[in-house]
Amino acid sequence: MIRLIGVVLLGLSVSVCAEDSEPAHPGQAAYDRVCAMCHAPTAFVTMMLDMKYKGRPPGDLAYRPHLTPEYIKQVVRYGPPQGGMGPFRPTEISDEELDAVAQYMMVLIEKAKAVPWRPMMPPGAPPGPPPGPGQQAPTPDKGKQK
Amino acid sequence: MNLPDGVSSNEFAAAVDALKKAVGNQWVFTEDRHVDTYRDYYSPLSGAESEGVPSVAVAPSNTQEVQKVVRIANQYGIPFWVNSTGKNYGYGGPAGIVKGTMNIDLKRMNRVLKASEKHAYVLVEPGVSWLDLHAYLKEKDIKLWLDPPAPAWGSVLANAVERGVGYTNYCERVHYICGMEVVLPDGELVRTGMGALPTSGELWQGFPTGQGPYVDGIFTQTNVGIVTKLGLHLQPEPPVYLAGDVIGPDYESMIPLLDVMRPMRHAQIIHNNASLYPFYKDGGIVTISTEDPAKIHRWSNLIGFYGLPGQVDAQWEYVQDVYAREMPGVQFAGRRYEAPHTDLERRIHPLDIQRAGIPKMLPYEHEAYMSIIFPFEGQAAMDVITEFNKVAQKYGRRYGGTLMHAENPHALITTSGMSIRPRDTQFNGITHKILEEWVDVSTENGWGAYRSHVTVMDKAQKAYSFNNHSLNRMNERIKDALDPNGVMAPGKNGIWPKRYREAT
Repeated sequence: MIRLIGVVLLGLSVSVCAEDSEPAHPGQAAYDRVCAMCHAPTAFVTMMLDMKYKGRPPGDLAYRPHLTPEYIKQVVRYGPPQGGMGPFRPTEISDEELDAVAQYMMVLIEKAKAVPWRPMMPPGAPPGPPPGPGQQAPTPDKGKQK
Repeated sequence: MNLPDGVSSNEFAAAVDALKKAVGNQWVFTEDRHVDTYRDYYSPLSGAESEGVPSVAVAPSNTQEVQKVVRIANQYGIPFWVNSTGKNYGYGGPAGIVKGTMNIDLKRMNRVLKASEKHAYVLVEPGVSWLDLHAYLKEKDIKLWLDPPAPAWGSVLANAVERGVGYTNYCERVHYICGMEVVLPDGELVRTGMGALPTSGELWQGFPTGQGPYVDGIFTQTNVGIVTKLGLHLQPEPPVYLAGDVIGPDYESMIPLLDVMRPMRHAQIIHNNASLYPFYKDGGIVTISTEDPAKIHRWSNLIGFYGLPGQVDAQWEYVQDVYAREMPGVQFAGRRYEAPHTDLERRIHPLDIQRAGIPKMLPYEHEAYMSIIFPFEGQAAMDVITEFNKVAQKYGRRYGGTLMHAENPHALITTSGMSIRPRDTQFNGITHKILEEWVDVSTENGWGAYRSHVTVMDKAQKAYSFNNHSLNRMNERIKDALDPNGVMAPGKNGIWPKRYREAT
């Protein structure tokens, strides 16, 4: 069962970028290609996880300091023990790329320690019922309302 | 190592050497730690004795390499299963049915070969996902809209040839396929439609057939050819997109919502897959469900209109008039988006994303699917839920219904799921039994499989039994003619090659 509670993410295209002054981490390219579609801080799935778990644990994986490179590699290749993500094959991410991504995650976790965690929620739209009559539409609605 | 039946370890080793010569050492995966990534951990049979654990995986990078791999499979009698992105969860991951199958992984073939705004089509390889194609069109500023399923990490090509559906007015994807390149199971290369005319150029993606029989159908949900290139017509960006929600007042409103929609769907006044979505009492929308019917509060028709301003406004006004007249208590919400749509993704209402053909990801929840075709009648949709729930309750589970898809104007489809618990063979065994009984109850009621999980497809296909299974026997004759060594995807959709039929 998948539940879209009320409102979903508005910005879909996201990636995690190193600060301008830093050279890109060797794991960043593969992370952006393979992981960010679901796990970027503002990704739809991150938000869904925050709605589901209420921060226990946080949807943004950078706020899960218990993660280890070995665990990350195991989960990426074969899925989490409790389920939740499909395995990624070596054609999707090579062993070398996976090593680098696991190290990159450690960098993201370290950086996240400086910024308090906040749940990822839809911009300006707390969870609630889906739109019904009388709710504000994002663009002027010229259709008939009854 | 799970060797395929009838193949010795020496023969297998020789085949692996040949594969390495064909595609390069690094693209043949024989170690368990890699081969295991080609298993389906979310299959009802995961971990069971009968799980189709693969023997080896091979990843060709182009059509010629696919031909070489297929010829090696023929030479050594090694069965193979094909995956493009391996993300068809619910219906099955990358793994096949037969133990010891070689997995042909097409993910490296990930090129968008053509994207023509002028003629409104793309030509893609199997490894291109909906997310990839969306990013490509955005980058090149090509104003064509997609029609992705959800979630969108799967293959455009494979979703089309598996006859997947989307939510826009291009939702019946199979009708928008225009031209295929196919590697037959013996390694022969074929192009269908205008592609067989060497001088046709872009006309390959202009007209779906040439002269003579229309064979593309046998390469859908197939085991008689690997589609390596596929043309797909896409919708030009519409001047106006209007998302119209028709909101029923209660659980029972599903019946009139569907019945009132039907004539407007026939007339293409409602032209998209105006799926009926269940909503929970707390407002959550159900997209895949194993939930209790009592928890479902109401249903909504999510309609999309695409066209000129006056046109879409008139359609929406007419639709509201009809529903308001026929269904007391119905409510409406409409949201209208005018071109240019350059920043649509940032301003679109969440409920309207899917109908706008914008690919998105969802968290994966574990279910195995049985999708059925049934009459476009509200009561029939309610009967499906009732009958499927009865089966589920026999095993201590519940089924409360899920989306009713109206991608075809004349019949409905629903994709019913039952939960999987990773590595819990007992729990998953019950899930498998429920899916099998859903097949039985569907057959009794005159409903038939549209698609089903790989572990159920054999049983589901057997229900199509007119004249002593003559359709399946014809499929077997085609299979034997095109795949004389019986190597490609044995058992897919109930079609077994001769050597497997004789062995049972």
